Order: sequence, then structure tokens, then C-alpha cells
Amino acid sequence: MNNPSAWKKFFAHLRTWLIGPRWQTALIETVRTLGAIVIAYLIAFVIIALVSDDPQNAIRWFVLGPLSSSAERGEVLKNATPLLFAGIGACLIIRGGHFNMFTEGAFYAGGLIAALAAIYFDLPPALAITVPLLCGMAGSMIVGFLPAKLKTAYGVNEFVSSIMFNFIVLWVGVWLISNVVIDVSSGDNATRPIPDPSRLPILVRDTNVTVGILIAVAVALLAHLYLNRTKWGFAVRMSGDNPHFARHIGIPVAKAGTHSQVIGIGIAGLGGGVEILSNYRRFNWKTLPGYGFDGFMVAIMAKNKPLMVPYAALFIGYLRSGADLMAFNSDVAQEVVQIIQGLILILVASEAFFSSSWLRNRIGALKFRKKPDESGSEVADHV
Amino acid sequence: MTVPILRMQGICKSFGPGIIAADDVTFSVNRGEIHALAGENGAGKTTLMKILYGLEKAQRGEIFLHDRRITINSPKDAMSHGIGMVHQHFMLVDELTVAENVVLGIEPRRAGLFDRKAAEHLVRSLSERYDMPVEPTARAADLNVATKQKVEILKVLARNAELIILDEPTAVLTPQETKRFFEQLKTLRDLGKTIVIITHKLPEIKAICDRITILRKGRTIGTYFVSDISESEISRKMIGTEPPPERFPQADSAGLPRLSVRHIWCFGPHGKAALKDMSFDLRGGEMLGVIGVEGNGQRELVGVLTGKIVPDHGNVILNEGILPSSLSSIRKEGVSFIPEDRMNDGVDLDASIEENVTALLRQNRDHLVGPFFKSRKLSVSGRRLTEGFDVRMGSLRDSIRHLSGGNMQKVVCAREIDACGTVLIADQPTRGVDVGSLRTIHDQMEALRAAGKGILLISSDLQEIRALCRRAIILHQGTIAAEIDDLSACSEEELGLYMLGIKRQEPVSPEVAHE
Amino acid sequence: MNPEARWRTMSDLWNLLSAPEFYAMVLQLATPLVFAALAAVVSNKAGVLNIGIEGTMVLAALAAALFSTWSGSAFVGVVCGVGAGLLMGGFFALCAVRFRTNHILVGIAINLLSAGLAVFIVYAITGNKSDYPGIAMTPWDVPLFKEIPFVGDVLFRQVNPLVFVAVLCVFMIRFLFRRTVLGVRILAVGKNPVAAASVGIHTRRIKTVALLIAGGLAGLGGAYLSLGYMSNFNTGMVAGRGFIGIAAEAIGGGHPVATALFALVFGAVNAFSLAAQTFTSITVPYELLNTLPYLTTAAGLVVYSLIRYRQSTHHSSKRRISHEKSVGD
Repeated sequence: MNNPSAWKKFFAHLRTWLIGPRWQTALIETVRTLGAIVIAYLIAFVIIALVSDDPQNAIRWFVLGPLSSSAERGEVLKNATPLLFAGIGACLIIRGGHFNMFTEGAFYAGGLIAALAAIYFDLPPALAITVPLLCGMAGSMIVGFLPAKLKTAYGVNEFVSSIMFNFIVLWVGVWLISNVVIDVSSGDNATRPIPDPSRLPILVRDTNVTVGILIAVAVALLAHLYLNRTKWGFAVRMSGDNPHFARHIGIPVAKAGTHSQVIGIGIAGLGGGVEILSNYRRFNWKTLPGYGFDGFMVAIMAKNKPLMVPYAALFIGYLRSGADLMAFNSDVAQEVVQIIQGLILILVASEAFFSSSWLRNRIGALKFRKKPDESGSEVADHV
Repeated sequence: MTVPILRMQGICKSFGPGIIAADDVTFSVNRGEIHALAGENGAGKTTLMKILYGLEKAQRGEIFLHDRRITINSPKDAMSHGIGMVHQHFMLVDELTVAENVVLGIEPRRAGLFDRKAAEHLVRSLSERYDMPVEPTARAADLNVATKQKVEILKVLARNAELIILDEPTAVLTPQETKRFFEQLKTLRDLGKTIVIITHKLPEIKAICDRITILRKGRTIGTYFVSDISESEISRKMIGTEPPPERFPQADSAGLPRLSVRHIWCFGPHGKAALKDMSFDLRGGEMLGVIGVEGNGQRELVGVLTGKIVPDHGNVILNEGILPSSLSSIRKEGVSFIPEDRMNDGVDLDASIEENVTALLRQNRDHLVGPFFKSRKLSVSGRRLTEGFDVRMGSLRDSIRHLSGGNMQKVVCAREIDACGTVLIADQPTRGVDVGSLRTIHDQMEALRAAGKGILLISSDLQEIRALCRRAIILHQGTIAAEIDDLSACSEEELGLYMLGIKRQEPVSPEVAHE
Repeated sequence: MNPEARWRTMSDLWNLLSAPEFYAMVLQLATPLVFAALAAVVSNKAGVLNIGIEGTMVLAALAAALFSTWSGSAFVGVVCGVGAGLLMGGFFALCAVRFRTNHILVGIAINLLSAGLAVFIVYAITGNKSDYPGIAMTPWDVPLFKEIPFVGDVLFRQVNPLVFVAVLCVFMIRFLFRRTVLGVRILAVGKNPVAAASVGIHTRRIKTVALLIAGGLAGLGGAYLSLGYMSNFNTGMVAGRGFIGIAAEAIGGGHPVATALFALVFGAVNAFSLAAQTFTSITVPYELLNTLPYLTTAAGLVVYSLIRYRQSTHHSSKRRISHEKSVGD
């Protein structure tokens, strides 16, 4: 690249790429998300300042605590793992155009079934982890098929029905662990201990990070491949984006919708299994874990892109760890996290907040020269 | 009598460069007349009236009411000046009653509450005075189209409109209903209201209008007394004498019939026949034009061919078999479609250009390994298709949202023409497209025809059909008014007469009784 | 099951169903559902699927408990509960109408936010995370009527005033949509916003007002939970009642009275699931009985959707119309 014309060409190329619409969109979305995070943090700081006697200390733990030691950094990863599963599950469901909240119930069911399979199937060490996880996944998919199919076949509102299913799964689970599979010696309504071979190995020494995070990242990659590289994922995306178009090119829209929901639920179920086999000695959940709703939040933050989900999950994981540390070391409850999450969700999902057209106009001003055929997009809006 | 109640002067409106809806239009209406605003699709009639009603803003021009200059920024302004409009698509709330719909926004109150009695009384008195019987307590959802239209007019009258604009009011009415409707319009006129009808139906203009203003391509051609001008003159002024098309298609290589439509009947809601006993053949290696003013059965015809509408009688034969019932199985027979509604049916705005242009290839075995896409092959195909159609874009990976209308349409055409195995149904393939894109699309369609495929070209642009097709059918009110074997031997004027139903080739099929 | 056990079960059931206390309990449990369902009715009529009702009820329940203890008056508590509901309704409107955020996402966000905020506030004040005491409303006796045998015991003896308010609200909402200008406009905005805007109605303003009303109703439901049904606030106390209300609205087809009746049915199931735990003859674990309200709600929703689905596909003529529509739009 010594001759100047090659350099010129290279720069021209770089410039068209930099001012191209794809880059612009990415930039706008990043700015929007960061803006939402900043605003939510500011509000959280105000709230902390209002309730805390020593807000400085609380905020320091909240913001810097998670990064202070390797154990704390491990805690961030541990917190991010279930959010990653839930976020990817929600991603697939939203991309297919649905709001199925059964990821929540799937987390519970997946965890319970995985624990039971680990305890009651006498598995050889090689299968001690995979079989329970797959059982949990399959079990939650079977239950989750119902609200999904009811939506796509008969138009039963999947949001309300899936929430009812969540409660049903919860109470059946609580019944099981307090009557059927209860281990009285635990002094709690809980299953027998999960055998050691079934517990996920620790990945990083002196932390609680298990190989679960690797599974989660692998699932994120697979989900990305599924959505972007397979005909099934293509059908799901087209049906979610524009069902009219999907029908026009001959995609069975209802089938694709059921698929995406069931797979998303399965991923959440897998997450439940991973969570239990990583961090719990026994299964003893008596309330819903809440990861279903968190997953939707993570997915929206990641703009429904599976490859962005790990970052969003990591951020929420960091938020959580910080809140835990703050709660432990100060007088502020960690539920401030949910407030931040809610605010970020609203701001990120809002069409009017930092609206794309507003930002695009600003960034558009950076364009050096406007080619005539690029100015056509405004015309297209009117025709 | 000849005092203009309303005058619009020098109205200019463009939707971006090259798309001019009104170019220095002048329009004036006298008190107490029924005035027709006529022109082809896209001539700017509706835009002009939307400007008057405050739904669109003109870039230039003035509006005078009773010789006083007024500005209209919203429908509310228009209403306060006594201007009311009945839209082509009714603006009724199905869940509400007739009376509630009529008074919506200007509800009568008693003791702070909604005075339903007064509303019903108002509707009754209006409907008696203007001879438009409706039941005020009926729910809007239960009304037939003709009654809904009456409700819309009552809505306007309840707001004391002096000038009533009706946008294609008879498009949804049966002939009998139309007749009755005209009597009511005459009553309105005799009671001092001024009426503007947007229409392109010549017999109707002749039947009830006093004067006519003709628009063509955003310009006023002139205003005439209907009694002074003949139907064929109106037709000529509406369609105009265009320069001859840039090329005449070569004689078609007469192939075998690919698509045969046989005695298709379709009834719309309320039993109005949308397609009446329609039959035609599309042969391989020919491009068959479907000419007609919009709303004469084109939409239903496409609906039948895409499996959206099941015809009530008759059948369609595709490649010597019965047309399958679902779009995906029709596609498997090698049929592809360029849809009329590009934004809704033609593209996924959230997906990339490559995904849009290869959407059909992505379901094709050549581009798959198991369920996985052959990414490289797809991007090669994507590049081939977009280059073949000269799509101007940054990168294949960019969202299609950022393309201009013309380029977006080229993407749609590239996908459908590439996938076409036997028959292409092109529904308005070049609407709203710039000249360069139009030429590319035409070239590619012509190449496809030359390759022996059958193309059904539905277009409201007469020039387009004359440039591409040798043979054409002309639709009028759901029937084939004429089948022209050699378009080059047929004058525009004659086509216009067929399009507007003044002339027919065959004896008219009898009017259908409605169940 | 042997005959004796069957006989005992029957007698248990009979004892339950013949006791006025059971019906009084049905009323108690149905009341928050009625409020939630009415909130869903009002928002749905304005064209908004309001999932935030659940979270609104949580915050309202907390506000009611908080302010009743602070002021020493249950009435002030209820008023503040309604106030909190209005606030959340306004917040929903701000996000959904002004910021144009997807309604479902606003709902999810509000639910997240409220759950967090409630625990956060309780903790900040008391240092524990689940409970906050409130001052219960004094139940009313209606003189004379309470002497009516059975019915008097159910409806007019020791009844929480908010139960009457709930009944009143049902008819007030009915009145709103039948007799007031606002109601007609809400309907118009919800069903056909373009048509409403074309006659000069401010669709945003009307939507906001409807969401405020819905918030107020949900606030009443929340206040009832912490000051009527119980006398303290508990973070898990709403337990999906907001969602059950939405389901009741869907099944009731948006008619206030029908919706309230379905809410009553769900309340009855809930009461039964609680009462059946006291059966001596058979022991159905309470966890399984707890699934009953959700199970019936889901089943009701499915049956309703199936009926609607049948109606829309059974008549071939109708199908054609819908096809035409899809072609036409």
C-alpha cells in the first residue's frame, strides 16, 4: 500500500463504511442505551442519597464493589449466567413476535426437573451433568408448548396465559418439594442433596464461577447461528418482523411462532438446570426466581441480538453484585436494582427517547458529501 | 348563482423531488352545485382535497372562502369554515351507534352527561331533512356500506358543513345503491349545500354533476359545464395524448397457456360482485397487460391468484393443474409475485438487503446444507441479483430501510423475477419508482418474457402496459370490457373508452342479483 | 375411595357451601379481582393492554399501609393508595403515550419497578423486607339488611366498605361508557383512533385520562388488599391478581358487569381453594389447591379464545370478508 491512490481508496472505503447506515444505526443504539443507563443510574443515586445515612459509602460499594477483587468479579459472572440464559430465551421469543412469559416458569421447572433427574437417575459420571440438564430443558419445553401453541393456533393471549402457567408450575413444584420429594432431614422443604458428580465444576478457582457460563455463552452463539444462519431462524425472524412479508414468501408463520417460543422456553429451562446444578445443594425454590422478567429486560437491552445478550447480562450481573455488596455493607436494599432495570427498560424501548431520526439528523450532518441516490430515503417515506 | 363559494389558487404540493402531486392547481366551486373533480389515479385529486380539508399542507397557494383568504391547518379548521369531507375509507367507530358516531367530538350534553336522546334526535331530524333514513340506535358495525356512507354524510352535516367533499363515494356501492345515493345528493344540493365529488366514473359525472374540473398529472386541465362536454372529450382530457411509448414489444412467441382463468366469480362483503365471470389465458413467452382504473377487480383478481381469496365460482388452471389453495404451494409451482404493497408485503424493513433479496433462495435446497445457509453462496447470489438490477446501495448487509423507494422495488423485483419458474404476477411493479429504476425493472421483465415465462402485468399506468405488452385485457367493474390482441393498433382514446366503461367489446354480462 | 370417606367428603363440601362465611369469603377474595378487572376494562377500551396493573396494585397496597399507619386513619390510607394508583397510571401514560414505548414493555417495566420499589421502601423504613403493618378498615354492618337470614350474613354483616365500593365501581364504569361524553370518546379512541382524531378528539389526552382511571381502580384494589383483606402490606400479596383481572376482562368481553361476574367466579375458586384446606375428610395439599385460581383462569381464557376462534372461522362468508379486508388494507 505504498502508492497514494491505494491509500485514498482505502480511506474512501473506510469513510463509506463509517458513514454507512449500518454503522450509524449501531452508533445510535449504543448512545441510546448508554444514555438510558446513565439516566437510570442518576435516578438510583438520588434514591440512594435520599434513604441512606452514608450515601457515599453505599454508592461506592454499588459501583466499585463488584470490581474490587477476583472473587467479586466472579460473583458478577455468576449473577450474569442465569440472566444470559433467560435473555437468550426471551430474544428468540421476541424475535418471533411474541411475549411469552413462560421463561419464568421454565426456569423453575428446568431447575426442579434437572435436580430430580440428578438425584433419582443413577447416572454414570459421564452423563451425570448432561442428562439432568437435558431433562430439565425437555420438561420445560413440553409444558411451554401449551401456551405457545394456544397462542399461534387459537390466538389465546400468550402473555396472560403464560403467567398463569408460571404460577401453576410454581405451586406444583412447591407441592413436590414439600410432599413428594421432600428430604425431611434437610429441615426445609427441599429435595435431597444433589450428588456431587452432577454438580457443575468450578471454572475459576476461589470463585463461584462454574462451567455454566461457558454453556451460556455457547448457547448465545448457537442462538445467533440459529437466528441468522438457518432457515428456521430466518422463518422466525421474518414472521416476527413482518408477518405479511413472511406469508408472501411462503413461510408458515404460525409454525415458526410456536417454534421460537418453545425453543426460547427450552433455553430458559436449561438455564434453570444450570443454575441449580451450579449454585444449590438442594432444590428449595418456594417462589418464582424472577429471571423470566429479567430475561425480557436483558433481551430488550441487547436489542434482541443473541450476541449482544452476554454484554447486557454481564451489565445486569454487575448491577446485581453491586447491589448485593451495597446491601451487605450499607443500609440500602439491593432492590434498587429492579428500579434501575425498569427505568432502563422503559428508556431503551421508548421510540421517542433519543429518537433515531433525531440522532440520525445530528449524525447525518457529519456526512461530507451526499450522493444523490442516498437522499432517496426521505422520499420513500412519503410515497 | 355563479359566485364561487371556494377558490383554490396556485396550489403546489410535492412529496419530495420528482413526485409532484399538485403543480399550480386552480380550482373553484360555486355555491349550490355538484362539482366533479376528475382525473386518473395519481392525478392529484385526493391530494388537492386533503389540502383543502387540512390533512395535507400545500407548499404554495392560497385558499379563498367567500372571497376571504383563509388558512386551514387541520380538519378542525376546515370544519369551522364549513368544509366537511367523507373519506374513501370510512371513519366510523364500529362499536358505537350511529348517533354516537355522528356526534363524536361535538357531543350534546345535559347536566354534564352525554345526551343520547338529543344525539338521536339530531340524527333523526337531519336524516329526515336530507332524506337519508338511518336508524340512530343501530351499531355502526351492523350497517351495510351504503348506510355507513349516509352516516358519514350525516356526520359532516351535523357539523353544519356548507361544502361537502366526497372521495370516490360510489366505489363501494352497487348500481342500485348508487342511484339512490345520487338522489340524496341532489336533495342536498337543492337544500343549498355545495358538493365536490372526486371520481373518474364518467357516467356518474354525466348523471349528477353540474360542472367538472379535470386534473392530469398534478395540473388543472380545465373546468367545464358537464352539459357542454362529451364523455369521450372528458376521457381524452383525463388520459391525455401522451407521446408514443418508447418501444413497442415484439410479437409474442405463442407458447402454451400457463395460467388459465375460467369463469371466475367473486362476491365481496354485502354480496357485491367484485369479479364477474372472468376468463382469460396467459401463455408462456407473453406479457399480458391488465388495464383498468383501480378498483375494477384488479385486487380481487390478484387475491384469487395468490390464494388469498377463494373464488365463489369457476377455477384457475396453473400448469395444467388446479391452482393450489395456499400461497406457498402456488409458489412451489414456479409462480412468483411482485406485490402491490411494497412496504407491507414486499420487504421486511428490519432485515438486511441481502436477506430481502435472497428470501426465496433461502428456502431453496441449493443454498442450504441441512438447515444451515451456505452463507457465501447466498452473498454471491445476493450480489448477482442486486447487481443485475443495479440496486444502488452501500453494502448488502445494510438494512433495506435505508434504500430509496425505487431501489427497494428493484430488490423486490430481483427476488421475484429470479425465483420465477413459469409465471410472474406483477402487481404495479413500478409504482412510485424513479425513471431509472423503472427502466431496469422493465428490461428485466422483458428478458424474463423472452425466456419463455408468462407475465401478468397489472398496472394503472397505461404507458407502462403499452410499452411492454402486446396483448391486454381491460377490466371494468369486475368484467373484461375488452381483450386487445395488438395494443399498438389501438389508440389511447379507445382504451380510455373501454377503461371508463363507455364502450365494451362483448355484450355486457347481465347485472348480478345479490344474495 | 370407600363409601364412608365419600360421605364425609360430601358432608365437608355441603358444610362449606351452606355456610354464609364461605360466600363472605368469596366476596372478600373477589373484590381485588374486580378492581383489577375494571382497571383492565378501562385501559382496554382505550386500546391499551395494561399489564402494569399488577405492579400498580403492589405500590398502592404499600402506599395504603404506609399512610394509614402514619396518619392513623384507614381512610387516609385508602385515599393514598388511590393516589399511588393514579401516579402509576400517569407514569404508564407518560411512557406509553408520550414516549411511545411498547405497551407490554411499559407494563413489564412497571411491574419490575414496583416490586423493587416496594421492597426497597419497606426496607428503608423498617429494616425488614416483606411486611409493613397497616390499619385495617372497620367493616360495616348495614342495619336492618343484616337481619336477613343468610343473605344478610353474606352481604351486610361485617363487610369491608371497599366491597361496596367495588360494586359501585362496576356500575360507575358501566355508566361511564354508556352515559358520559368521556366514555364515548374513550371507546372511539380505543377502537378507531384515526376516526377519533379526524373529528378533532385529542387521542393522547383521552388515553391518558383512561389510564389514570385504570390506575385509580388498580389503586383501590391494592388498598383493599393491605387494608381490607389483610391489615398489613406483604410484598407477595398481589400474587398475580392483576393478571387474573386482565384475564377476567378478556373473558368478560370488556363488559363491566360480565367482567365483574367472571372476577367473582375466580374469587370463588380462590375461596374454595383456601377453604378446602380445612377439609378433614380428604387432604388435598394446599399447594395444589393454590393452583386452582390460575388453572381456572387459564382454562377460562382458552375456552373464551376457542369460542371466538370458532366464530371467526365457522362462517365461510365471514372468512371471505376477513380475506377481503386483509387484501384491502
